[in-house]
Amino acid sequence: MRKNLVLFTLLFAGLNTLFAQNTQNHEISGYVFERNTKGNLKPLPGAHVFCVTNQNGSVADQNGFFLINTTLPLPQLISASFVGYESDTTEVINAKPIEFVLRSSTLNEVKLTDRLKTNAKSILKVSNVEWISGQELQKAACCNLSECFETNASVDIISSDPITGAKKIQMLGLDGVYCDLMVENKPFLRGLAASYGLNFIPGSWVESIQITKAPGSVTNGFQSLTGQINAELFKPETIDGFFWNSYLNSIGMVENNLITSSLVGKDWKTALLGHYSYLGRSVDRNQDSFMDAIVINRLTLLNRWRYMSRSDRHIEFSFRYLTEDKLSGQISGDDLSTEEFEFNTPYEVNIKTDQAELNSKIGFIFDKPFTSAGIISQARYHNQEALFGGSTYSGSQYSLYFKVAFQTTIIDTTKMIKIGLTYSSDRYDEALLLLRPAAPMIDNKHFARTDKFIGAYSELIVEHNSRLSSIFGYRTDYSRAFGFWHTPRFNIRYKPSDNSALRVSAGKAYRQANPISENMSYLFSSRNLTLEDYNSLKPEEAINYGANINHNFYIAGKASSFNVDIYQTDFQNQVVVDIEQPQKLSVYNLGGPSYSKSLQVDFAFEPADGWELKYAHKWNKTETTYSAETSTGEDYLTKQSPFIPKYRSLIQLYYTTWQNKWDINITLQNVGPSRVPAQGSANEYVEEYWSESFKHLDGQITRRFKKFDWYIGIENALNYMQPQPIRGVENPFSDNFDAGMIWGPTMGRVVFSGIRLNIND
Amino acid sequence: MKRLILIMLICITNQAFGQINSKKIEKVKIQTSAICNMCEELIIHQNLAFEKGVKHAKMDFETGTITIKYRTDKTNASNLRKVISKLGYSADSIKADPIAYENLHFCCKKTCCEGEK
Repeated sequence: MRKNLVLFTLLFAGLNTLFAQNTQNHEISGYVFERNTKGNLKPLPGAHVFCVTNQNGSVADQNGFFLINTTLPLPQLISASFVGYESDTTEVINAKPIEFVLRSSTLNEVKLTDRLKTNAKSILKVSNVEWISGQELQKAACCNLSECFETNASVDIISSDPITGAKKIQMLGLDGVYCDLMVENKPFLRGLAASYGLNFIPGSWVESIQITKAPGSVTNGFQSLTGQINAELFKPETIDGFFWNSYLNSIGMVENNLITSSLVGKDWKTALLGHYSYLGRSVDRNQDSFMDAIVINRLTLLNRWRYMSRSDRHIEFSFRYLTEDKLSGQISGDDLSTEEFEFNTPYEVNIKTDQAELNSKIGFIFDKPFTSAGIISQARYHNQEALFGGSTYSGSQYSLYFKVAFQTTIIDTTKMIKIGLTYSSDRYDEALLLLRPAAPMIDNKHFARTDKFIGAYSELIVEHNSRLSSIFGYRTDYSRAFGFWHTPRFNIRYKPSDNSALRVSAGKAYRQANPISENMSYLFSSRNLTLEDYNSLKPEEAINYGANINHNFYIAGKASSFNVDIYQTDFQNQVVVDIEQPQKLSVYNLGGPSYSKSLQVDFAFEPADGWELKYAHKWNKTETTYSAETSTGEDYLTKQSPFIPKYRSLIQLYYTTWQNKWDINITLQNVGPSRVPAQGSANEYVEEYWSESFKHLDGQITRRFKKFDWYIGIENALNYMQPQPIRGVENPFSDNFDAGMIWGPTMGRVVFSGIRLNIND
Repeated sequence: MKRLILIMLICITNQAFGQINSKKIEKVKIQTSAICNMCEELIIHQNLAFEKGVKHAKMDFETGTITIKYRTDKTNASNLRKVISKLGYSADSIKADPIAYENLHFCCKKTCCEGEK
């Protein structure tokens, strides 16, 4: 009847059709945008926009524009979602166009966030996730992935040895090998790359990083025990124009990064990411004849392709290549023929790495909200050749990884299920030849292993009500060698108020250790490897459980936050790396308890506009059982793991002017004592001791101009260095030599400066 | 030594006060044709932020007015209007640069949202 009436009015009163639409049929229109790392808005074609009540919707076009015709009365809840982005929901009250700004998320767990903080712990996420934006990464020089964590309290970076200057990470009081480091949710730091892999991803390529504490999602594998770290790199769709970064530091290291993109034909967009770093001179500031910084030549290239023309398909592939040649050790034989040195053959170190990787991803986005399917595949070749003081190591790894994933909502949008199948195959070939004074016979060992796993997972994400959400995940992996592995994990989040969250999680994880490549730094010594039977090493198995409290509040109108993390990891089996006896590096299965407890307290607040102050303190207790053969049989001893600081605190002060024209960041860290095992030969024996605690100060000033940014900074401003990082430099071929006993910085004060150039179109 | 420091301190404070005196900050409200987030992005984040003398700028989405705080010794209101007009937006009485206007993202153009408004 009413329709007839409208028709009647239309015909006879000559009213326009728009009016008729307004009474019965609404047009809801607007735009969907995303923010790139510079903070600029970009249209997000392909995003799904729909009415929450009846799920009717449409897809945003090339300009991010969408239009929904609906008969539902206003106001309406409209939601925008896109694979790889956090969904957002807004209330539409009138016919004005609306705007969505979606933020990229790789975990796209449950709900929306709308914060522009550079380092945020969201209270809305079900898991304990910390998000580091590109802007946070620019606060420090961040030449490679390991340095990206310099301003972060959750992940510790420590030097692993003074020979290669390599840095490794620690999380929840355990070595970085126990957290799963991924690049765009694909395996990255698994296998042989573990020791130096953090240097393989240039910091300038990183768009954002997500750190998930505790085992995290089962969708990415059974590995992650202490956490998942995922780095998102720049993508063809997020790169505009041309980006160039040059970096120079006071020891003479030069780094150059290039990022550029272009359209190829109508349908494809390609991006090229390049990196070159070079240090040609040998630097020995502490006069111990060993170079402080490694002479390096590294080239990395990444070429990415993305199919752009269909918004309901996500097709991309990429190719990455890395070649690296590192030279270190004693400077040259000529300088050594003085009385100080007993030996005139220099201890030379040369490490060559080649890596090639092929990635592809095909995704289908269905009309139903939050529903998508994808096929991810990766193939990688890794080869590493190392020569160190007459000893050689060579390792190669061939890896294949496939994943088929599907996600959809069940019943309504508050319940989501993710299911998938994975297949991974890794072939390792390692050869080690150790030249050791204690064992004059040349000891040639060859290790080969193939790990093949086929797995299936399912994960149920439920938002029970506005306060309670949970994620239950379960995966099973089968391998011929180990049978079935079951990996259950859960995360529960409860919000007692809108500003606080309480999380509980527990989960299981497995890992196959690669004891040689993961502990290369201990082999820069006179230690001999004691590994009875490589194939007798059992897979590592552990559970992790913990809780987290996150509370946001206001002090004098300024946003502040308080966070407590408490986690424990218990190993059922661990491949113990034992350096308790001076001449030995023993690798064996765990014979007693092994656990790690970690407590972290964070406090952040803004004293005034543009200022940010952050304080974090962390306590670690990590104990492992070491076994030693005695006359009466095996002797077990449980003690603190070496080189894990008892505590670490961090104070960070950040100041920025309006629109970030200037920003200053100062980070002061206080690293507590760590246990240093007994070392040295029989006549120069040093009992085990606790290292002293030390302070580490870093700072950086950035000035942003319209087309470029300029930064200058200082690392280790207090110039604290571990005294005598290398033992027995007089004769590196004697049984007193050891370069693996590192608990503090091995590099002194370094000043650096660089520019970031950004040219759009 | 102490006296030297005192003299230096006086010099510094003098200089600082001197600067404050010349650093006169004024506020101007400019009526523009800007309408959306993307306009704000272009005008404020990408351009006004780096304009000499501009201390702060804020856009009101309802009316399209931009409030700018600027240093009188470094720039003036007509100069700021010119900057906005060059980007393709009208600023008070100054018309938008026609070429820049043509190149705007279509949702930022005046005609875009007229139907709804």
